Amino acid sequence: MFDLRAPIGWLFVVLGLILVGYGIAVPVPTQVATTTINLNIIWGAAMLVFGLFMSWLAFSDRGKSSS
Amino acid sequence: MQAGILDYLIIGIYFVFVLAIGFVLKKDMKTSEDFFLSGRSIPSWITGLAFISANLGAIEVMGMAANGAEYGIMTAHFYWVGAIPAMLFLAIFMMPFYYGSKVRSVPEYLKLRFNEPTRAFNAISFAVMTVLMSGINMYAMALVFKLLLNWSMDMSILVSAAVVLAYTILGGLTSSIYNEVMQFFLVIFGLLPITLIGLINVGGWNALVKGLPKGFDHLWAQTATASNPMGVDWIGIVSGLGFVLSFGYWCTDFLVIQRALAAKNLSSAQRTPLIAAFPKIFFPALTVIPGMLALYLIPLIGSNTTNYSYNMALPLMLEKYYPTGMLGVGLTAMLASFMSGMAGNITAFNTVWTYDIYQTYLAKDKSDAHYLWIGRLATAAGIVVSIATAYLVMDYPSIMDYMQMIFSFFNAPLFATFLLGMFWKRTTPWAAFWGLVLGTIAAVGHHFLTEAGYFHYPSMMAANFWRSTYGWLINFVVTIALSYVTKPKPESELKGLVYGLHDMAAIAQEVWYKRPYVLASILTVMTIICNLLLW
Repeated sequence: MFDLRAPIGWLFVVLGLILVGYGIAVPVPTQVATTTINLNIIWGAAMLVFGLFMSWLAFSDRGKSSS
Repeated sequence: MQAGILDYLIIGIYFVFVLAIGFVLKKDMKTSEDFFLSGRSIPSWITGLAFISANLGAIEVMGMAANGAEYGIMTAHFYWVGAIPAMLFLAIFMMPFYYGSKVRSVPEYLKLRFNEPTRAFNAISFAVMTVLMSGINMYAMALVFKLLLNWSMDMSILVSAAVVLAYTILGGLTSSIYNEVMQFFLVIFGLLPITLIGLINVGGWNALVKGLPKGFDHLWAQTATASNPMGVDWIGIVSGLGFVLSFGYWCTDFLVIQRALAAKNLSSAQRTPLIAAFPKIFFPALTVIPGMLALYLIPLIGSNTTNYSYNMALPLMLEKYYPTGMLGVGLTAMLASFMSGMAGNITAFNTVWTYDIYQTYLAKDKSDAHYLWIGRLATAAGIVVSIATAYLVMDYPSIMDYMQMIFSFFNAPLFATFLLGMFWKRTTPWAAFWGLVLGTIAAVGHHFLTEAGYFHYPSMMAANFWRSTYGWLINFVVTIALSYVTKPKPESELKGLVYGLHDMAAIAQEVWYKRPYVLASILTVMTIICNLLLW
């Protein structure tokens, strides 16, 4: 059976890229305390990093057992 | 904020991944053991996250947030006095019997330990329970879609059913488990910003609880009497929720145990609930706190209109904070949680139906391919029945009350059967059977007598806790009493099934940080700290 970390990585990379891209194209402010943030860019980036990390784990473990 | 095209795109991408996993795994599903038990080959980090995720359905996500808005932080009792201690008990004391005896399902253990009628009773009641439960998830999903996507209830129920049907029928338990792990991460990423932004906006935890009704900030401080938000004193919490309901659910429900049985060896199976318990400890931050934030930030919550019922606490928070894009991720997270909750029930249902009912009573000695086919058919049938039960749930004011009511009928009495069966070798087959039957009847009877006005409780939850305690107690007492007047099984037939007659040597060979006792000790300390912090 395949290494599950690979599809999890891809999914988060794709979703992260979409959020960051959309966040840049159509900025929507979210009120946080006294300031505003662009939630799509910030959280999209976090998802992208996580996706890359999972993909890297799967890639570096190729051929080995995933336990 | 209503969902836009981008949100649909994100949901669509998620569906593509879910279905692709089912398709890729289809070629690995050659035997019925592959389909129902994943060939007992899955690493423990995957079974561990699937263990928690199969439970991370509508109840966890929407129900706990609803309870957070209704009862405050006392809802965390479901985690820190309920789930975690029960998961530790399952891992350390019960898993050696479940995994070690090589059974394929929980009812099958009852057959080996006791007799055929006990198994039949449990298999049938479990099958009924799973389809009743999986309907909750479809109903919850329909509620969310109606609010945020403007879909009709019928439409969203049918769409969710179709997707779950496709991936469970293709890839069986492995597909379900793999998707559950993916869903676990989606739920974390989809819901965490709500807690973070919400807490920052209200000025932190202390400011939040100052703005909430009295008693919403303590777990134990006001439980000397029942005059607290939940309406239950500490005895009710510890016995009803902590001991009977939670242990009954986590230690006997095949839905979660099936994930551990798919592990590749006994110590992986033991680690499964332990690995699950680490994230589980922190889940109140994702579920209960958003509910409390909703009560603070959304003035109408708790009013009796459908769109502002407590059940809607979390969807309303998504609507409040998430822009297009993140809303898609948040919706996908909720959708994922409902689908994993539903798929979990369906994969457990098809296994129990095929092994414990069909193969045992209806068609013995058929080919493996035949049972694999029947398993797929049962998956489809289970989903169709779940659609019907989804409409049944609509008549209940709170999904949490509905679910705990079902658990109190089936799981709470069953836990007494397992406790005695695994730890007292004198327990006889017929005593176990009659104890279980009478315990279940007592619990169901208690419900109808309460409905008819013969018993009174301050809340539905209090009634659930006490009903569970009575059902358990009646089973426990009846089983012990009858065990003294009926014939026990000879010890030679109980090897590997009862404490004192099994071999624990297989577990001792691991590095220290993988040993179940070490992990369980760390978890115990963490759980005690959580209870003390919010005392």
